[in-house]
Amino acid sequence: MEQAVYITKTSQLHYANGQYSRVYFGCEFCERLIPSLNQLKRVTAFVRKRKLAFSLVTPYVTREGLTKLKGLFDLLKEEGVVCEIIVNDWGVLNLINREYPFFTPVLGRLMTRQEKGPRLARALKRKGEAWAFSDPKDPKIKRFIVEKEIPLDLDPYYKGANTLSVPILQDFLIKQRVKRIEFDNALQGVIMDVPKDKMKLSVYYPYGYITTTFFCPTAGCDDSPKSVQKIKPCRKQCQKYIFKLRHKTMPKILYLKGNTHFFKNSRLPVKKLQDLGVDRIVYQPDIAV
Amino acid sequence: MKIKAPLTHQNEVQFLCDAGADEFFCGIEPGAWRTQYENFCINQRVGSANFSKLGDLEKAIRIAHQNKAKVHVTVNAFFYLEKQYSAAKNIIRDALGAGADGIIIADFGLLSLMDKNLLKGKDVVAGCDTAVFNHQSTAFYKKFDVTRIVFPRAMTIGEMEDVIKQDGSLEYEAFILHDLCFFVDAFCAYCKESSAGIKQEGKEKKGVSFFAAARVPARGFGGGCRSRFSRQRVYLRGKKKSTPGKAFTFWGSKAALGCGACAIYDLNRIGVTCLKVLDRNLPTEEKVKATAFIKKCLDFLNGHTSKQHFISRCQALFKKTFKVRCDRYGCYYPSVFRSGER
Repeated sequence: MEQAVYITKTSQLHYANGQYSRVYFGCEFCERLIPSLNQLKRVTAFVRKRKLAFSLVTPYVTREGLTKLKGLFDLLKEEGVVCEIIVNDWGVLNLINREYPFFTPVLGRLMTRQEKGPRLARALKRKGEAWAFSDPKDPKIKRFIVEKEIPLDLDPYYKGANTLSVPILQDFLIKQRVKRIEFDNALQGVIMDVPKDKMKLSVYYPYGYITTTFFCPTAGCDDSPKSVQKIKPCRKQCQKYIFKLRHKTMPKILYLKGNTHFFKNSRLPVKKLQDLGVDRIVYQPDIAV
Repeated sequence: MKIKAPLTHQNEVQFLCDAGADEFFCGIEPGAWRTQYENFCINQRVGSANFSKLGDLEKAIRIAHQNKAKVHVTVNAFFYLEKQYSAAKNIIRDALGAGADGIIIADFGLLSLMDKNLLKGKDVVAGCDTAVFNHQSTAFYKKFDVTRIVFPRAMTIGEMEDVIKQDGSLEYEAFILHDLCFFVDAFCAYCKESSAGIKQEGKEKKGVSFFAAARVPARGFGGGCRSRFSRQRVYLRGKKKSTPGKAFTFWGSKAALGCGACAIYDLNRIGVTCLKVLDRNLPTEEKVKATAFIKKCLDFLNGHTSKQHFISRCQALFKKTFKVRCDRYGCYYPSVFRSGER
């Protein structure tokens, strides 16, 4: 099993010790955090010196982000760096296939279409729980929800992902030169059916993402009044704070870092994943924002 | 610019056409699908927001066509299981056979599996779940003969303009009213975990009613991104922690209505072709009210008005129509209020 370490800034390079044979560098969630050319140069020099494999992680992007990424791709091309590009935007995949065919595109975890809502883990335990609450509009009205069991034959949906279970889609991805798919170590477990000879798999550990947005809830969190607008100024508060979110319906503490919600799943069934065809673990020492 | 309205019943069509709808979007979940895949929606709305009989859909389409309005059928589940793909394809075939003018798709998998001959001459709409944020993505989806792109909610007008400028051969659709969400639909696992909703069992008795949930509680009943979280700030340097603060939500004190009417001026300027009024779950009168509101706002454009004047008129009409003042939490395109912002 290949061990990769995922870092988002050069100050984390110390994590790339002898335990790992590959470095992931970049950001999946925010185009404002796309590394600069100098940062990328530092990291490529580092991996070259230590003979480590390299993957550049890219986020979903607008035109602005796309321009930044093109700069990074050009630099990698100039320096002759053989690497993977972790793609989290169909536009980036299109760009690579059209203009940078020497890079190896990898389908990032945002593109995998995996069910991983944190409450699904509890629902899939099928305990048939019931709970009561007052109607939000009229507190005098009491409402009871009785949980019906999710049909067992839908497990491949709730524990799966289309790219991980539908052969025709895998063939389509192969035509797009994608031969590796990445996914999260979902709390409810993972079911997949991927031909090992055609497609390779990576799992992210221990943090999985739940949701993300351009409307960054952290940007401007120091401002008064606080706002939830996309246009508020970003002072990279995501690099200063993290928020722990608790809610009675959530089985675990959630983390809000920057514009993205995460869960933590410390359980990693290595043997099971290996049997399913996973050949790479992407370790995140910190939440990857 | 056209107005696209939500549709769930054939009786609504005429009212919505009269209110100004030029297009409709609807879903169909036939009995066979419901029986086979109980509590698994073929699109992102629960059963009651969909047509259940093809005949009803056909009638609705007929009335719409009489009013020169188009009907798009949405088959936009997050993704399908392998066996469901063929069932979804059959439903698309039947809906198009019944006269539907196009389909709305969210999953690239379904798009890549579609028979191109079947979609010839039809509108193929890449829904907001296809996550098109840049012109390279439009180029990607054009390979599937997509004719229209729906911009994700999280995009600004400037970002939309960048996409449209690069490729004017496609139609573009933007959200305009209701159902504002701050997260990117295509990347959000919260709403995907509750799409089956909850179903009332029996009638309410003495203020007590029972619901059955096959999955987790739908939004509005706690949980998901609309939860009121207890939030604790942790400083990354020194790991200092604040005490858990008061309840925090992304949605302000109440769920945002979601309105982008003030941006119609700019959306028209950049070349957006269609404005989408949302929420198939709304009662007919709310859908009609919303559609008529957007139609009136569009009419304001015709008088060669200035942007500022247009915004003032829209805000006044909003307050008159919905009996609330527009607020920053419910604004789809807040950049229109800031000079220099895109």
